Amino acid sequence: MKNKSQEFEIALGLLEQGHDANNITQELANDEELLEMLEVVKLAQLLPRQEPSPTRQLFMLNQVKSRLPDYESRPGRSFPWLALPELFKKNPARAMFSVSHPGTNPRLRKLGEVVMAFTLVLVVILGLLATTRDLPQNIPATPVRGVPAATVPVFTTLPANSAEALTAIPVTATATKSTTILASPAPTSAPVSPATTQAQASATIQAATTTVLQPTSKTKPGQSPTPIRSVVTAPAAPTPTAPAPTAAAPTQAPPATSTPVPATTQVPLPTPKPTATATPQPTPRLEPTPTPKEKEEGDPPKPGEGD
Amino acid sequence: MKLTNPILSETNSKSLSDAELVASLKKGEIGSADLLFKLYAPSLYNYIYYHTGNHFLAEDLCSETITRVIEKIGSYTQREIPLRTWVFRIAQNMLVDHFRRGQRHPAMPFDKLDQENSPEVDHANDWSGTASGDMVEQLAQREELVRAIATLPEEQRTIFLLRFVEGFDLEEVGKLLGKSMASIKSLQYRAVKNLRRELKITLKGG
Repeated sequence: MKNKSQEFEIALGLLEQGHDANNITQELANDEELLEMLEVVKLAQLLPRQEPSPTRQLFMLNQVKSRLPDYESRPGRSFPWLALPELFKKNPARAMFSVSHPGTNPRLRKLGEVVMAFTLVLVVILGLLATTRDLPQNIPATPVRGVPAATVPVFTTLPANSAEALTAIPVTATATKSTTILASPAPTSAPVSPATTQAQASATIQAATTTVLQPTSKTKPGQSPTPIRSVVTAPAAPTPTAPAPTAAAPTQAPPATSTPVPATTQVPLPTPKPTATATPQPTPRLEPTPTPKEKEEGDPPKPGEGD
Repeated sequence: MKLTNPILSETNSKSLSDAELVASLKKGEIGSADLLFKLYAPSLYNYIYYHTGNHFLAEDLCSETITRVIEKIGSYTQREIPLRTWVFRIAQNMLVDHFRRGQRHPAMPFDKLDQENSPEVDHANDWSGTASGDMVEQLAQREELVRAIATLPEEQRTIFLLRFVEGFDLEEVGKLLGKSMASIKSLQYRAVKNLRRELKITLKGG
């Protein structure tokens, strides 16, 4: 390998001095490979010179001057995008090449950087605008603290002195607040004394009304909460006939009221708790349930029953 | 600004030596950039074209190299390296940068060049005294050689073009690329050997 390389160096030296390749190889052990390598070198020296035409050279020179800061300002030096139409007009193919290879043309590279920066700023501004526009849309039109907007009309449309309100108000109150308390005595103890049920019902109604009265004082400044409280304490009368007031109330309320106002009051009660209280209402259905539970829980699993 | 065309006029082309040209460029005299362009642009263009196989890219890189030379002329000292070698070193650095970027924009191979879209190119007319049969054969061989050069590894291609197309001697190529003489000789030998093998295959196959 080294000998070959050295021989090639010697042959090259001779070739550069003007010797013929065949004579050189004859002197250097008549090596065919060396001769072919010298032929390659000779061929390379005969490659045609690639030179741009005078017009292209002038264009290139202008390109050089436009890049130099010392030369007078030309279109496209300070504002590179101005040079693009001129470039397209002069040589569309070359302009297309420059656009598709932006890294090779510093002016277009600058243009690309400018466009990128502009796009980034635009995106940031649009993002900020979008966020500031969304904020007021999220705020509700009539803000009510602590109470959903759907329950507000219950107290506003309620007639304070009417007797129908006695049935209407506990419905709304127990349905929202005291359903869990009233559900437990109904299935377990059927023969409960009327006094205890009355006390429980009044207690739950009071608890419910106290919690409900707060929004009324805020939503209706002109209407005092006292008439509603007096109305709520009054239902001591229907307690003996109602062992489970929460369950009976939703069904009995519409026929009791002659005016359509209580009907509207019961509409905004979408809470799932009334449905939970309605299911344990029938007493015969609750009685068989303990027996299978006792069977399942009380009986230990037999060893042979695994299959 | 009305640009003069120093390329078309043959005045003052070789009257200035490299030292005078460098001094003129350092002073920023009007016309020195034109002269530098006239002296070095054609050979730079030729070298870059055979390196990349793309006329447009050769134009761009050539004018960018000349621009870089004018910008960096203040740091140039002639004692260390001849001006021509320094100019080609800058061109080589530009090419290396281009090939690094070329991972994203791969260079156009020679056989895919669209001659209709390529700019007007003056080919040196060296067919005088050649018979028509020899001319055709030599043309085919040249085309094969150009394609074979494109297949060489970048380092070997650089050395081959600098040595045998641009006519730099071993010492100049060593200075230009910052390599030892031994490695330049070795790379040159391998380049020619690879080209011979490649040409033998293609010519036999054809």
